[in-house]
Amino acid sequence: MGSYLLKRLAQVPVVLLVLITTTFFMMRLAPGGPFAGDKKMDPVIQKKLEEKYGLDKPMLVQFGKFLVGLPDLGPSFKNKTKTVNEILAEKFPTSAYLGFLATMFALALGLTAGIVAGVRQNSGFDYGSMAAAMLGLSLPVFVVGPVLALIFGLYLKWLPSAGYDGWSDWKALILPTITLGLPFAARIARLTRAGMLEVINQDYIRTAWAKGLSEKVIVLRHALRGAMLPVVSFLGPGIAAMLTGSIVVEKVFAIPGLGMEFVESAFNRDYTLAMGTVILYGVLLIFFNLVVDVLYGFLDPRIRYS
Amino acid sequence: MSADPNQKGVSPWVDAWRRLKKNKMSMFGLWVVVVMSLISIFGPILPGMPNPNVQFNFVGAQPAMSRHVYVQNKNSLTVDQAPQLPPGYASKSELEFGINLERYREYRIVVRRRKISGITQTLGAKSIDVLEVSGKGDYFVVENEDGTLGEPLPPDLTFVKKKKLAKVLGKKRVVILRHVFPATERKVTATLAGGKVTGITLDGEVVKHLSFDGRDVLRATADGEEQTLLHILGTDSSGRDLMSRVVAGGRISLMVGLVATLVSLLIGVVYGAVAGYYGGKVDALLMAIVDVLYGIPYLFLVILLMVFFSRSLMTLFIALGAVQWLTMARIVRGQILSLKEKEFVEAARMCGSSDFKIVFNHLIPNTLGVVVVYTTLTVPAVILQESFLAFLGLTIEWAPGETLESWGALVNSGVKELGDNGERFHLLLWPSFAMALTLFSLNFLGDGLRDALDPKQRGRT
Amino acid sequence: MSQPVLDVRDLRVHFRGDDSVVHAVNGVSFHVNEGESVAIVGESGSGKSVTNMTVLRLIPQPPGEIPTGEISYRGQDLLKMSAREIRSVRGGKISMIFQDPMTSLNPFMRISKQLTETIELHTDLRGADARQRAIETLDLVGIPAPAERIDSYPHEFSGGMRQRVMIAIALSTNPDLLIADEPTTALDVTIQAQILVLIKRLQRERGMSLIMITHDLAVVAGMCSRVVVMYGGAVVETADVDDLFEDPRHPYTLALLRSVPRVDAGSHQKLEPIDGLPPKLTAEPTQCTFAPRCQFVQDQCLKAVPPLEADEDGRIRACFLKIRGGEVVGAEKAPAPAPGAKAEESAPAEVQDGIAPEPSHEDAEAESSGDAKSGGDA
Repeated sequence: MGSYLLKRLAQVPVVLLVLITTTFFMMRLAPGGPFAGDKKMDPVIQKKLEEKYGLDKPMLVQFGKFLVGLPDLGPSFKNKTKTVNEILAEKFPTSAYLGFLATMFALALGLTAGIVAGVRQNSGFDYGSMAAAMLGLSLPVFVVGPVLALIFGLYLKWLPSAGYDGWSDWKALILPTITLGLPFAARIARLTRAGMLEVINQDYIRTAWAKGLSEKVIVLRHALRGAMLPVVSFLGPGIAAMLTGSIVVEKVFAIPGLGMEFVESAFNRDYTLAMGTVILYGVLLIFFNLVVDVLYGFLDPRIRYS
Repeated sequence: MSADPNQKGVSPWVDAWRRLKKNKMSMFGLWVVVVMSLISIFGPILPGMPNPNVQFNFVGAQPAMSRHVYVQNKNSLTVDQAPQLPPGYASKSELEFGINLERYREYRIVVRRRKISGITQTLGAKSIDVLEVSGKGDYFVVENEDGTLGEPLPPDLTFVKKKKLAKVLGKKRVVILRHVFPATERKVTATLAGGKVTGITLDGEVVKHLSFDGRDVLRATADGEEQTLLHILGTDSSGRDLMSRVVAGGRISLMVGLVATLVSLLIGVVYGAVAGYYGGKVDALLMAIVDVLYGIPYLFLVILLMVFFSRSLMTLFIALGAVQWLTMARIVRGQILSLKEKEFVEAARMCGSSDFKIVFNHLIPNTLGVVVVYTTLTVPAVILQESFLAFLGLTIEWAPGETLESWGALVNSGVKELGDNGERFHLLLWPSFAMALTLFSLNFLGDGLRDALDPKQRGRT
Repeated sequence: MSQPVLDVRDLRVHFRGDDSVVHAVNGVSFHVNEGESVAIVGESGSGKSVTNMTVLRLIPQPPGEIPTGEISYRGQDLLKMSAREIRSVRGGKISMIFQDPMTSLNPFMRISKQLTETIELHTDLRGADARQRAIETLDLVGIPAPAERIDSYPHEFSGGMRQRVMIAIALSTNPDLLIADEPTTALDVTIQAQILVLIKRLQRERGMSLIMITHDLAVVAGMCSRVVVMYGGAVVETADVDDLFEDPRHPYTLALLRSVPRVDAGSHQKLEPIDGLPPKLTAEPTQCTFAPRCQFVQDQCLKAVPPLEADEDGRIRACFLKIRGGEVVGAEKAPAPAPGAKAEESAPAEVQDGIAPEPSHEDAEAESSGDAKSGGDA
């Protein structure tokens, strides 16, 4: 387990470096520069701005300065008052909260559905829930979101359909959580079911039956551990998918989080901010992948004790 | 269990096909995918399929199964010229229209010393004393120097000779005024020969030229038959037929899905095969690269790419393909690794096959199954990603300004047009439905293929 | 003679497929007495495993079906018990161990837990007491340093050790009957011997009854006092071990014995396999299932199913012919008009009915074939 961990940790700086380099050069090489699109700017002013932001220096020097300056991500090009770090710090908690809620929702829904479907294979529940899961995978978030907003927000008026006022405004997060979590839940349900089916046919489950244990005990104590493994290893890419999904969900439900910030900064050509967001996402992703891998190793005693 | 000498051997493909056939959902998926593809390819060419780009602005957004009179936004008939009408009319000989046209009379008003000194009806140079808006629906409008018409003047206006000036005439000395009467239905007939207009009548009077807006046409008949256009799925806000747009969208989405997947396939299979086959250090290095690349949030980079660089089709193909190849490479490598140990490879080597031959003749065909499965599952993922990008506004640009509207772009418009009470819901419904159905089917098909090709199920029908 | 520990009567088990039914077990009857060790011998597909899995109701009920049969454990019909009742029998009164020790233990659970959960389920011991019993049982089966190793995971043990752990789990609750389904087939020969010796010793020490399922005649000879031979989903012969080996009364038993290579036959011994293939049991048998491969086959064998009956000296077998010393010496009975019907003859003791006066008679074998996957109908 130790060497496994070490190997994974060693990858982290490499991935980060690749990510930062790619993003940096992509943005610097983009035609137009950060001031393209602004109303015609006086060339003198433009030159001054470029000097201020160090854009007149050669590319590699800029890159070097950026690297050295990390983790300070620099000032925002468009927002004159705040630095990138400040903006990120502001928006991040909201997105994190939403992501957390969505993950919990997805796990609760997905695991339960998957376990029951797997244990009651070929039953009505099995077909029904797997078809529903398939639907959840085929409907994009930006269809589900507005439709839910329409039904629950405008027709039934049970929940707000947009906006978010802060921690206490939990009602506003219900629809976005469901929208964001549904595809995730669908995948988890399918994986859990498949894992369950795989495990149920194993010899050691037969042994458990022969010992006289009840179905509930067998499913929860014996089968679940093995069935969970594919789900755990999926959590990494699953969270990644959710991060990308959050962009759209935040846009649809007007939630002021990182996702919206990223899109706006990209369209506004606010280089530093866009880059900062991507790097933050990358770091999050790497972190989660690492956690998931460690978790997997922990859950499988064959890896833990080897 | 000893082998039955009378049992016929069955190739694993036939075996898998049989298993697939039993899976009803997968067969449904397969059928839908085939139908969708055929529609996408041949749809736009089908006779009777409306042109997705033609706008009937006067119709606006209409729900499914709605009809309207078959005319253009702006139509005109001129003797000795081809009729400015939608295609199909030119080949007829007798046309009849019921059109709401306004009648008007023109007057010349002279202003002297802030008083109306004279009102003359242009036709016949008749002088009148009072000019008033007489009924509901009629109004005055001023003709500008350049011949264009101004905005309608306020109602309830009266011009009386020798009275003080109505403010609305402004500082002008001479004003050409039109008194426009409410539109009533007028009957227009036209005869054509050889694709050209030979005669036009308006309420029985012969005229040489007539132009009218589509919105004013109440009915149109050609050779005795009513000319209407049916929109099976309705229209969007610009009056474009929704069904043909959905079909066209399908073409784009499916093409993007397919090509990007093929790109990822090409890269992934070769990469994975090399890594898996050569193993050892080569494999370790190649897979380390994959692991590193896995940690990158791809879609963000693609977004940046499209915003800053170009939104061309090519960029999209490569960008989306680049997102997916990692998974493909891993799968192929895994498959090859497990196959490598199998005895038939040893046997082939003992027979003297070269490395290249082994890879191509033995290993790759055996990975084909897994590859087919994951390809079928990658296509919907790519389509979803492209629609994601379209939703954010990053639609495909064929040429600057010209967007290729995939299903994602259509759904995006649908969402924008939703209206506060979901009035134009059908604009969201049909493209989403088409996309969801296709993705659903592809996923089911992929699942079914995966089960059918699962070696653990071999022999078990 | 006291009641047998286990009494299987006329058991039939079918498996319903999409368009076919497999008659895995066709009217099997046998019994096991107190403290006795009985071997059930047969090829793959003979129905021996299915029969025994059915005892504990470990066959999933779709696709499995039990149209007829009665399995009495000390007088109570196991097939009629409620789910809760059968669960208390499983692992508590009747334990079962399986063929492949590498996969029969839960890889994600420590051995201690796998032992104590059974102990706590079927005895009054809890916590530290249960753990103590677990350690003692591990010691009993020969695991070195049990107190330290009890907290290990299965993958830290070798195959032979794992099988010992399985035995420990099975015996920790002091069951009356142990069913061992080919427990050594997956192990090395030397380990095999160790395990068998262990089982035999434990059985004798505890006075436990044992059903040993195997296809290996050597195991039979070394371990058991009585043998039940199965073929094609039915019992073909039942006898005491010595009687069976010296004087087989069924063509299949005969052929089986002949196919085993003999140590004393010299290096030029020709191996004698049994020609033909095992039967496909897709329909209720209307003839002797062994007939297609039988070297003595006669007309009557193809017309009816021979019933399991005792002949004049009490030896029980299902065959129309009289086999002595490896040859046919006459027909035992006239061919029966309907399949499975009992022909009338001079043989004493109707086998299908009740319990015969002598203990080693009357093994109507009920075989349930097939393997329990996701467990019984609990």
